[in-house]
Amino acid sequence: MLSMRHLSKAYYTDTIKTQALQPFDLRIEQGEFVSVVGPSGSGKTTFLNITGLLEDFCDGSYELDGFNVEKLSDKAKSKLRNEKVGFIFQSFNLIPELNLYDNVDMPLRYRKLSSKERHERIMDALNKVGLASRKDHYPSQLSGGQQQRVAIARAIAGKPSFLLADEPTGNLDSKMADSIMELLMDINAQGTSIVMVTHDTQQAEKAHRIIEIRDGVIIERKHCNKAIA
Amino acid sequence: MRDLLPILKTLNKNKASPLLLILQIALTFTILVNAIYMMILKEQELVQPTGLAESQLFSFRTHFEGSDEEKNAALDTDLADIRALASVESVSTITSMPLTNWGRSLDVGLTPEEDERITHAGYYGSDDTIVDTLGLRVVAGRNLQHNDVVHTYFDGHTESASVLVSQDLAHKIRPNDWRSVIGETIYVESVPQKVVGIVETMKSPWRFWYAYDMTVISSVREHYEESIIVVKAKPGQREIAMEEVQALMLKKPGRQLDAFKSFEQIKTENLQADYAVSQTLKAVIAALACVTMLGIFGQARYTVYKRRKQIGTRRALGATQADILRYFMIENAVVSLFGITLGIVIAITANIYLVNYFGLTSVPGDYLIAGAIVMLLAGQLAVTYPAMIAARVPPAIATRTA
Ligand SMILES: Nc1ncnc2c1ncn2[C@@H]1O[C@H](COP(=O)(O)OP(=O)(O)OP(=O)(O)O)[C@@H](O)[C@H]1O
Ligand SMILES: [Mg+2]
Repeated sequence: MLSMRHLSKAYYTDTIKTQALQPFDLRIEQGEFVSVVGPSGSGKTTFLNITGLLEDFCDGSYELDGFNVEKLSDKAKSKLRNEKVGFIFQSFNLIPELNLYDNVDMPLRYRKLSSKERHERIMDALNKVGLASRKDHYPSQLSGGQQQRVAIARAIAGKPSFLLADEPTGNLDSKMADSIMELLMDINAQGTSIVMVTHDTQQAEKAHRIIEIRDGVIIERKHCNKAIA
Repeated sequence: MRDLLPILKTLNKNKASPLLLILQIALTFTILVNAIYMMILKEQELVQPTGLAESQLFSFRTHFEGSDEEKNAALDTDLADIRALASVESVSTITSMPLTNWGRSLDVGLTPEEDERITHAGYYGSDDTIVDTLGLRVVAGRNLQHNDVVHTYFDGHTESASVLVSQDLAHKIRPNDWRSVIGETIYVESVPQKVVGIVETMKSPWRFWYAYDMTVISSVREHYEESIIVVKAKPGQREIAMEEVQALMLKKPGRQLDAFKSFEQIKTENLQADYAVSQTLKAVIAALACVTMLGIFGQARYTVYKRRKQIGTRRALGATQADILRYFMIENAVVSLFGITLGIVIAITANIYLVNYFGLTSVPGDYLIAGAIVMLLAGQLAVTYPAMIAARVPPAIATRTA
């Protein structure tokens, strides 16, 4: 569960202030799948980055799974990101020099886990995305859709409460995009909350709830009235 | 150390750039260790004491004419005149001076047979005043005495007489009991000489010679056309003494003075070339170390820049700033260790070659170990700033760059 109150964000560059997000209140329940839509430059990535603790906000308060975020040190935020949040990026962000297994292992290495437990989680995650048999391959040997699956495996291996995805299908053709969406919905069905930024209205409709951002103003546009798992 | 395995895998996958750095570190290491060792050997030579009262001494050459007796008498007069000066403590004639690269080197043995020679040694002929004048220390036996002194025109070593030997020579003759050389007859160029005393330190004229430390001081005084006179001024009065002696000598009709130098001048001239070599070596060592550190710095800076997105991704997925800093520090340590290991192999191989073919002394293991530690620390130092920049890469980079 996450809850934001009167939260806002502005960027200051030289003398220019960009109000990226106007003050808003928002709650996302455990198990929810939320789509974030809006025109380019409206503040979607900014919203996602704040949600995932990649950026600080200016005013307001933010509570993530019972942790009051604004009081946390950089180190504590890193730990919280590592344990509570899984990130999926538009351009996958895999490490080209490491094979799939080691890529999925990467965030797990920042935790105190036994190597046996890490191995189980890695194989479990790779199985979920259907790439266990290719664990020794390198990212460059995979298609874009497969690379995104590896990134999803990396995100879920840590068993996060939230999956945050910034246009996860933005670089993929519609067929691949559909299969990634199915995978995400599967993961959501097993209880992981998902916040997904997308340009694709069809994909957005598959979520429980759609949030629209326009010029930094957050508008709860639509409830899709689907049951939360 | 949880980063170690992924770092090794990454380096293995992407060998080209670390390989160049490894090679650079290896070569730098080899050159640095050898250069520093050479420099330290040189510096040790430069500061090695000569055993003389260096700060009080000066010497010069002068010439005499006439018959044997006339020359001997003129030398006596000169010595007496100089000794009478208030600024002078002691004065002697001697066949050559240490560090002047000019003198006699002779065979030394315990028998007259030439093939049973024990060593070479530097030879000095003088009289009973020389120990006082040079400021030598007799550590065993006795000093030369007035009635030991033999007078000859030239080639005094062909005369038998009482001699002093340097402690290093005594030790060479009798490694187990150097004092026992006293009272022995040694053969210098097959001429018997009776050892009456041992001086602590007296050096040969040639610093690079293997027998630099081994000398014989004989009580045969020569009065050759060209004689060397060495003067010991009273403490702190050498400049006055030099002026007074010069004035005094030039008053004598037709007299010329040559190589009129304080002992420091002699020493400085002798050491100058080496001193320059040593300074050059220092500069080369410093420059090389800087170049390598810059190389490490540049490479790390570039890598950090190239991997900004990867660093951001790691941060986004839970790496702390300390994790990122550590990653780059460990990566550098790994590359450095590979380079140093290769460097040690090169250094040892090169050393075997140098020792076998050029008779150079090999670099001791201590230097390799110390060099390895210094290289490792220098690498860590050079990578610290780039690693700090890496740690400060904001995690938002992960979502903000394509
Ligand atoms: N670091 C920054 N400094 C200054 N302004 C910024 C910074 N990051 C984002 N902005 C501005 O904040 C606003 C919101 O940007 P954001 O990236 O959140 O938009 P977006 O909705 O994700 O756009 P897109 O669909 O193109 O990805 C934009 O006007 C952008 O220029
Ligand atoms: Mg965006």
